[in-house]
Amino acid sequence: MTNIQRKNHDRYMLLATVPLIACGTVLYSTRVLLLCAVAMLTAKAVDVAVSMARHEEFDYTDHSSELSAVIFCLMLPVNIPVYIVVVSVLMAVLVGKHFFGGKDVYPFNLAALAMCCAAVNWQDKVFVAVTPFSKVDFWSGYTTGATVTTAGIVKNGGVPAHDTLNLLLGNHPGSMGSDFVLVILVTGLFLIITKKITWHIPVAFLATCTAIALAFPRVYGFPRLESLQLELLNGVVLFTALFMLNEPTTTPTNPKAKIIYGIMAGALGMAFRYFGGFEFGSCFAVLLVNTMDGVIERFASGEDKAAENSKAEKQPEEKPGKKVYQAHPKIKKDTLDIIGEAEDSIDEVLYSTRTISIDEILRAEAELNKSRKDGK
Amino acid sequence: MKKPDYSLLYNNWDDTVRRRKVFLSNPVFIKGLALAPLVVAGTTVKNGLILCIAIICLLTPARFATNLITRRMSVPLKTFFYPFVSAIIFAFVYYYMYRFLGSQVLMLGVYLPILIVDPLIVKNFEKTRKEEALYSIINGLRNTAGFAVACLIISALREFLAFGTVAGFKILKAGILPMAQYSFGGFLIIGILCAVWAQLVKNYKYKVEVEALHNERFADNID
Amino acid sequence: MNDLLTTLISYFNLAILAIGAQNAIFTRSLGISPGIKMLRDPRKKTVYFCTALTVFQVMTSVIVHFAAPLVDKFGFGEYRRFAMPTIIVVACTVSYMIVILSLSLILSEGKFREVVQSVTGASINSAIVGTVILSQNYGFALDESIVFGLASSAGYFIAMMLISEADKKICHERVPEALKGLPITLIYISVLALSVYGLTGHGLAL
Repeated sequence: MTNIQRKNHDRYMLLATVPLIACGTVLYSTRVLLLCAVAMLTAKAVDVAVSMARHEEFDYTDHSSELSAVIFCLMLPVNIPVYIVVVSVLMAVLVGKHFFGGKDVYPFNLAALAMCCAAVNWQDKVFVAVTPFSKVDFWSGYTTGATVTTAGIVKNGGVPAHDTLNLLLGNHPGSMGSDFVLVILVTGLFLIITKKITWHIPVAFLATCTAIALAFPRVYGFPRLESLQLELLNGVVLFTALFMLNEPTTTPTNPKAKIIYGIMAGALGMAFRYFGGFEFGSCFAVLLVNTMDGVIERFASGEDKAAENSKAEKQPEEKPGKKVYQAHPKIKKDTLDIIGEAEDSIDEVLYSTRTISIDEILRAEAELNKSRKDGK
Repeated sequence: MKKPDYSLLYNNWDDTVRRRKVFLSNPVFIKGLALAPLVVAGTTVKNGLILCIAIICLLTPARFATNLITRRMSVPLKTFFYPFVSAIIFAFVYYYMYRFLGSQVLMLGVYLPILIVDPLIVKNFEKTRKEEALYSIINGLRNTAGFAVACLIISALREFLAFGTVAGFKILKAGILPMAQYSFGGFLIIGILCAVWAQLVKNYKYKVEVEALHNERFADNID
Repeated sequence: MNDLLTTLISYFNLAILAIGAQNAIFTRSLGISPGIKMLRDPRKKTVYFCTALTVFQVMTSVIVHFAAPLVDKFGFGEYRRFAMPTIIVVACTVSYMIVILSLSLILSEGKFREVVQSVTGASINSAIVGTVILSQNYGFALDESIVFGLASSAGYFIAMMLISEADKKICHERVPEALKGLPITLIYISVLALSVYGLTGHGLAL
């Protein structure tokens, strides 16, 4: 995927969320729009603030933060307090994206990171479902329609009383946008047919989830197919397959690697659903599988580590869709090096004795002189 | 306040760094030592204080005692003598802390006993250079101070973020970021504090270099 | 047959607990400082380090299991908690001596020099001491403490591999200057620990 396609990817995915936002607005209330707007604005504000702090030109073509913010927002219930959205998006974009170097190089899926942050901090507020068409206060989010999520019922061994049509249409207590199965399926098919995304990851992910759900049904004494339906049509399984696993920055590029990546994400996601502490295990699984994309890529392309290292030393390879930066030669002589140094002679602190460049000194000295003259 | 002599600092920079263990070579923020107890157990100021007391009672005496005992020993023997001495001192420290502070000490579980093998205390074992007995006390006290400062900053910040209180005094109704009380929150907050600390050290170093260079040029002009 | 199956299942549960929910690095942060140090030290190899750690872990568990009751025998039962670290350090020393002696007999000199660098660092650290104290606190039988020790080391090894895999992602020029090195490594571990936390939920026994 070239850089232009990468930019377009964010735009198309943002467009793909529009039908979900529309459905959410109709079923829940216009508060959906407020929350999405707040999330996007927070993400953009962090981007702008960071580019100002780093004295870099602001990149208007980068929409990855907004896209992640909207995807995260759609997984939340409509009565979520605004500060949770703001803090989680801030954490994800600042820590998950800019701390690791910003666009094209961040290692974790930002929407999954935001969701995990929200889930561990405010579990009781995030895993709530709101009954469709119940009255929701626009500003405070107060509603009388708050209830247990369908995923939560299945997790506790119960059987939710929703028929298949309602599950497909998303007409059951749920989150703002991740439950509209039919809309997600149509959008996904459209994106695959128009080649905006590839089929490998979603298909491998869903196939793994299906296989595991059929082999080990969670709802005991229930026909396997109905149990499967409950597993796949609620929670964020389909939503994860389409919106979170296709991000070019955090996924492998090789088709074979993509399939392995999808299978691993599916297996881990189901394990987290079955044994984990939270209803939406897929988000945690996405974070975990993000850390292994390098290994999967190497494994799939059959390259051994040594060969890859020697190649990387010669020149920074330009992987399609991923901008690989050359390892900074100074890093090895940085803070962590001290720990290594500490072993032999604890007090030789290399980090602190590192000299700054002569240009910097001359510039700073000129400023100092100027300010002293002005002071006199 | 008297202005520090920047030229002197600049010319003896390595020595300066060695001496200023609280700021320039903080054992936690710069060297990344003793992270295990801080990440999991350093969640409230109370816990932080208990860790500090343990380190105060443990670090300098262990260093001094080992210095006296292992003076003539070869390096491989030293390797194990250090943790052994610190373990014996720790047994008494642990017992008296338990008697005076009560079961709160046991609440920290394995995170007090593992201090005896923490690189903060035993890293010295691989050191080949001999150090004077007096110097070992001074160095131990510096390391203790560095750890205490870092430990109190980390535990106070985590308590504030997680529960909205500092040392038990209520400041906010609830915590802003409840994840600060878990280990991953600890990693994150310590990581960010390390970055802030490193930046402060860098700024200070920059200032010293610039001032020292300026002084040199100024002196040249007088000549 | 049924007994064997029950035992195997209990071992499996214990192993899953030690690798996942109570992971040495992500949940308990045991051995984190020497771990990060080892990753950055070109003289040390992760595989040697973690293998040595596993061996020491098991040997120390076994020695401590037999040595700890001696404290009761000599009438110091109430001080057992306070004497435990000393017993563990002595056990570590004994296992280190045994391993080093056997390695020096088996390996050639060059190889021995290479291996020893990693082995010494792994001999005494908080991962071993913490795990042995935990298994003593839980009151594990000999077989259980061996399984717990093995699984803890396996968890440590997996965590180290995941962190060393991150090197390419966190060592590049786009990472802000102040965050390079130790801070960004800690933040990366934090996100990893967060994802593992999804499996465990709240609650950690110190």
